[in-house]
Parts: sequence; structure tokens; C-alpha cells
Amino acid sequence: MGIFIEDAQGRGSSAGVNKNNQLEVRAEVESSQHAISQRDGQAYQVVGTATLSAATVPVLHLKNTSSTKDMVFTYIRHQIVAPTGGTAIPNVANYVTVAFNRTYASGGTLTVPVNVNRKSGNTAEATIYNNTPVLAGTAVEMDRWYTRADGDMNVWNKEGAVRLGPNDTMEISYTGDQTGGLIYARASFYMESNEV
Amino acid sequence: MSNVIKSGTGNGKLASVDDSNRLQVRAYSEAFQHTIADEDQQAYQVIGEATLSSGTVTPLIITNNNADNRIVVTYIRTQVVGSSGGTALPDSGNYFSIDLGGSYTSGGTVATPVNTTVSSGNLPIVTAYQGDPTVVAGSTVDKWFPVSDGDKNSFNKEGSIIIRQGQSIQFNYTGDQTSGTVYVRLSFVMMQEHD
Repeated sequence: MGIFIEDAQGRGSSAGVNKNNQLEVRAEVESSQHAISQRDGQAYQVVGTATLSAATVPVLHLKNTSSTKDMVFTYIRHQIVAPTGGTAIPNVANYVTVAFNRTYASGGTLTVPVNVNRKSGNTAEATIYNNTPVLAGTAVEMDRWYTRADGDMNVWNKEGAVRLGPNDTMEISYTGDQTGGLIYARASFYMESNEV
Repeated sequence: MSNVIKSGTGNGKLASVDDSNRLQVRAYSEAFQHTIADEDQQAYQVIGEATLSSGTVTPLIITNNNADNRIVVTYIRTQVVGSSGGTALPDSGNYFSIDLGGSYTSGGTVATPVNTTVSSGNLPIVTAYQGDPTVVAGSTVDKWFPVSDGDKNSFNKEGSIIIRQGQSIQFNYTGDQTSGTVYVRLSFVMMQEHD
């Protein structure tokens, strides 16, 4: 016995199945960050800046403080502006990294993510520092970008693949030998239930 | 009791389910801004400009006045043209920014969003001002530092930014240039609150 999927609008049409036995459907595509923003009011952006120095300079450090939600990253963007005093870029010693695992120790500036669904009263269950916080532990690097020129920018589209579980951390840092200039970073993320 | 899904086209085909228990479908996918432009005629673009001057200028601010529909932002594009008189770009003191939660105070000129479904008579229930109106700043959710004169950037927001009644999104340029223009284009759709 089989069933037909009929139109409920009274047009008399019914869903087709093609020669490859695939049901024919039409899908309206929504990004996950739009769906979460609309449905849950749990999409956020946070920005940070730090002054370059000849060392590793964290511009953003993010920790998921929720026990029930994962912190899911959609986009990360950074820019290096007016680097001075170091080796001319590009060079192998001057780059931006995205890394996991280090923990906040001291310093920096506490920064509050902005809910991009205005009128949502939700706040992100996260603790975020910008502006060169001191971090402890060993970083587990997952990506690197070698700055090409003054003003250079890069966007990482993570499509929700980067997820921080409870108490997990991530940092965006500059490493190099410049002694002046600025690194800017913006992270777009949403908080999503981690129920399986 | 189980059922199979039969084709309604009369070709005798039945829908299959694979070894991972997934119903096999073939989907024609489309961006949701296209769906809304096509089915609801509620996709819009609005542009704004401001003359650069030392300090912060606002090329565009838009406020949602509709209790039943929300502004859903898809794309933002900006460009800085003819900048001069200030610190050479790029410079950490010269940047474009996006603010949420601010408000319009006075001045500027009215900017009217254009429906991108050309034959539609729909207009969004919003107010938009360009040309450096006086505004109350909001919370900055992004910055971009132009690298050179004429530089541009696009922000693909994928509908994540949602502006409800009484709320605004504004675009600013902060710097020390004394002449030139900052241009911004906002693409958005109006979606019903219950969608």
C-alpha cells in the first residue's frame, strides 16, 4: 500500500518521486545563525582590539560558561592595522591564530557580546575578554593566517563547525615582532542546546 | 503498518529510504531573501552616504516601526571614496562601524528603501535617514578599517541581525578625514513576527 502526498491548498497536485526514487521537494534555505536568532534569540557578536607587540597578543578570549548550551561559531573576522617596528610583512613570523584550550589568568578587558536579535533579552552565557588578557596553559592551534599587508583582513566562515562545550575556551591571537599597530577581531556565534 | 510514498506524476516511482534511514529527496533550494522577494515581495535595499569629517559621521540609520514585521538583515556593503585631509589609510583611528540599539535624534535626509521585487507596491514600515543625521550611538557589533581610498567591504549577515519595532541599526564612519564620502547599502527583508 502506498500513499500520495497531496496539496492541502485544494490545487489537486501531489508530490512527485523522480526516476532516482527521490521525493521532489522545494526547500527555502535559512542559515543556522538566522534560524537561531529568530527562533531562540541566541545569536551574538563580540568585538575586540589589542595593540601589537613583539609577542603573542590575544585579542579575544572566549569561554563558554553554560552547562546546557554549546557556543557555536559561524564567522570570525580579523584585521591588522598600521603594524610598525617589526619585519616587513608578509613574513613567516607574523600571523594570526585561532586556538583552543588556554584559560584566562588576568588582565585584558571584560567585554559583553551583543545580542543581534534586538528585543531579545537573552545574554550569552560566556565570559569574554579582549585587549591582551594574560592566558595560561597550552594553546591548541586550529588555524593560522599570515598577514599580507597593512590593513589586511581575513574572514573565516566556520559554518557552525567550531563548537565550544561547557567551560571550553577559544582565543584569537596575533603572534609576531611588530611593536606598534592594532589587531581587531570580531566573532559571530550562537548558543545552542547541547542536549543529544 | 507502513506506507510507501508514491509519485503523484503517474510515473510509478516510489520514494526510497537509504541504509542510514534517510528519506531520499531532491531539493530545489533558494536563498530565503529570494523566497521572500518572490512570495511576499518584502525584500528591500536602501542606500546612504555621508561626507567625511573629523569625528564620527552616520551615512545611514534605519528604525523598524512595524509591530508585526521584523527587519532581517541579509547584506551590508560599504565603500569609502575620495578620502583626504587625514591620516593615511589604513589607520587604527579610521574605521566603519555597525551599531545596534542606538536611535535617531534629528537631521539628515529621509532615505526610502526600494523594493527589489520591481513590480511590487509594498513598502516597509520603517524610517531611514542618510546624510549624517544626529543619532544616539548603540552597541558596536562590528568594525572595518578601510585599507585605501575606494576600499569596500561586504558583510554577509545571513539574516542573523533582527531589528524589531522601535529598534534601529546604524552605520558610522569614525576618523580624521576632512573630505570624502562614505557610502553604505543595506539589504534586508521584512518578515512577519510569527514566521
